[in-house]
Amino acid sequence: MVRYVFMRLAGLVPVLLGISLVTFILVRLVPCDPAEVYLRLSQIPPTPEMVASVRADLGLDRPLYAQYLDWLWKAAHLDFGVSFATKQPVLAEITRCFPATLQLTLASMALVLLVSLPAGILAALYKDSIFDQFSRLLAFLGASVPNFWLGFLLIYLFSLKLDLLPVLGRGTPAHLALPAATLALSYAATYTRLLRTSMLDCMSADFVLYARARGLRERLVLGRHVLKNALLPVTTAFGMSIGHMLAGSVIVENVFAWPGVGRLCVYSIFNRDYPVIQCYALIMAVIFVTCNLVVDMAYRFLDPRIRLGGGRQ
Amino acid sequence: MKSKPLLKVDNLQVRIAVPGGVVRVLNGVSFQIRAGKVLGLLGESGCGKTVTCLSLAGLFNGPGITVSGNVELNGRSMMDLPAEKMRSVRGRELAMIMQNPMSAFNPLVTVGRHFTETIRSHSPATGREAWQTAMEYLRRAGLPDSGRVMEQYPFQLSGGMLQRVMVAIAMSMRPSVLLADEPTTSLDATLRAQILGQIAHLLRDFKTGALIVSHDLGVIARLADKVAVMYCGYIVEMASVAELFDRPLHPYTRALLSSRAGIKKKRLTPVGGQPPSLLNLGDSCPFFERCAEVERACLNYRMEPEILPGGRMVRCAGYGASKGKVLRGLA
Repeated sequence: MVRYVFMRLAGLVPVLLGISLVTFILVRLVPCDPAEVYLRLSQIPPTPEMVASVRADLGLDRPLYAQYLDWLWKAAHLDFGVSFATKQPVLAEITRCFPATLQLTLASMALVLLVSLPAGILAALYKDSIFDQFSRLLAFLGASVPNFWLGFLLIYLFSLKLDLLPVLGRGTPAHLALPAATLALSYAATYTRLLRTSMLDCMSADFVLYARARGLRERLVLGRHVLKNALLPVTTAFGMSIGHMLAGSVIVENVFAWPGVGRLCVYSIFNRDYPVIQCYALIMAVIFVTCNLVVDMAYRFLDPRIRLGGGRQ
Repeated sequence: MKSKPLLKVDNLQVRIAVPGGVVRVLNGVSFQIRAGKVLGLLGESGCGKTVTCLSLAGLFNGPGITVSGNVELNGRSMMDLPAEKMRSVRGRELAMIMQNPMSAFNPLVTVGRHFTETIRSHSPATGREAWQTAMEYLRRAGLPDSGRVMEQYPFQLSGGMLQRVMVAIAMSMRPSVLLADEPTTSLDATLRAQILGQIAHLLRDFKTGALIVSHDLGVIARLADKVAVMYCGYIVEMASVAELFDRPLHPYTRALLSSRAGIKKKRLTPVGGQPPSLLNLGDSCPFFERCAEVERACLNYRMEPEILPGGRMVRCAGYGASKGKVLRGLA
């Protein structure tokens, strides 16, 4: 087990190298001189002399590979440089914004579980009932309505018309409600349907018939035999989406002016704030890979066939 | 003197409404099972053997399905039993062994848990007591290393071992009647004999009545006292094992028996043709098209059972009151 985790973590190294290289190159492909941007952000007119001196300062006059290796060496020591815009260390900027994103994501995840678990179970138990039809419609809408539009609709309805919730910003739990709901809806919709399908699959399994034939109470049949098996694929998918949600909060954060890393990222992209973009991409990669690892670990814990090896179909 | 029947099935009918009509799955199945006696249910795939088992246990239900007729277990009618009562009967008075042991167990739950949850669903036993009981019955079912088996997951055991576990779980409740649906179909020949022996042994020890469903004549011959031959949801012939194998009366039974492999046989003789669709099946004889002994009387025959002297039952026009076929058949 320890060996397995170690191997997986070791596998993280090439992934991160690859990602850092790709973002490094992509960012530099943009037809815009970082030195000029740097000067503009510092309110200094970009004269050719100034640009040349800043290029030398930032090391932009050196060959690309040297720049990359330099960046890599510093990054390995957790020094991701200084933001062009704020002149603060990049890592400090991101860690400052990260709690807000984490809070938003955790709230959304809680919301997703709170909605999709009962809804999925009920939709499966009362298949083709009004409730099932309604959840199907909701899933369809949830999966197809784009985040930003949904965000605006919710702001219009709950903040402007009904005046129940604040429009923008972060602070009270009330501030959290709309962004979390916006981020959660499409996931909740997907998981409701996924759990329903998965439950229905398991309900027609031989072992469920046998459980009933042994005279188990229906609650035990559903809880231990149907749900436990039905949750396996849902767990995998859900774990994968944690990374998606953390990284995917970009749009929602911008719509609701939520001061998280997503908004920092978009702001940095507009400003060509390269060090921040680079660091953001790397951190998201780490989060993604770690989430996958956690999912795989959870799977081993949940499914004895994987834990004990040599599973038979 | 005969004991009272434990299980009495009277005119059991199962219909499934589908777009385009009604599928007549069971058409008036009647039989009785007495303590310690075994009825074998024989027939080809799709004739309603499994449905018979499931509907006896109240497990054949769903949209469009209607089950009618009467089933009495230990003198109590089971047809109008509320769900919770029916549940407490299942597994305790009426135990079941499923067809495919490999898929009948939940892959995420240990064998021990399968066992103890069954015991504890029907008795106030504590976890420890249930565990002890389970170990004892596993040993009786031929799994000496029961402690290890209890802690293993289904995928770690072989099909034969799982089948024994299923037998052990069924018998641990000391049921009145055991329903075994193709208990050995998925096992290889040597194992089959062992497990059949084990089942026979336990049935004898506990005086349990049993319904053994199989398409395997060997299994029926080994375990059953009486055989019911099923075709298209009808029991077309019912007799003691010896009588049936000696002198099969129904043309279908004869065809079935002659399709057996034998040492002296050069070729197998299959039963010709296919069974008819059960969708909108009429009242006339469903074997008509495939029967080698069709006669004029068959056209007007409506599957009334003929009870012959000696108590054998057969559903065939050839054995109607005025027919000489009886004499020919018995000669």
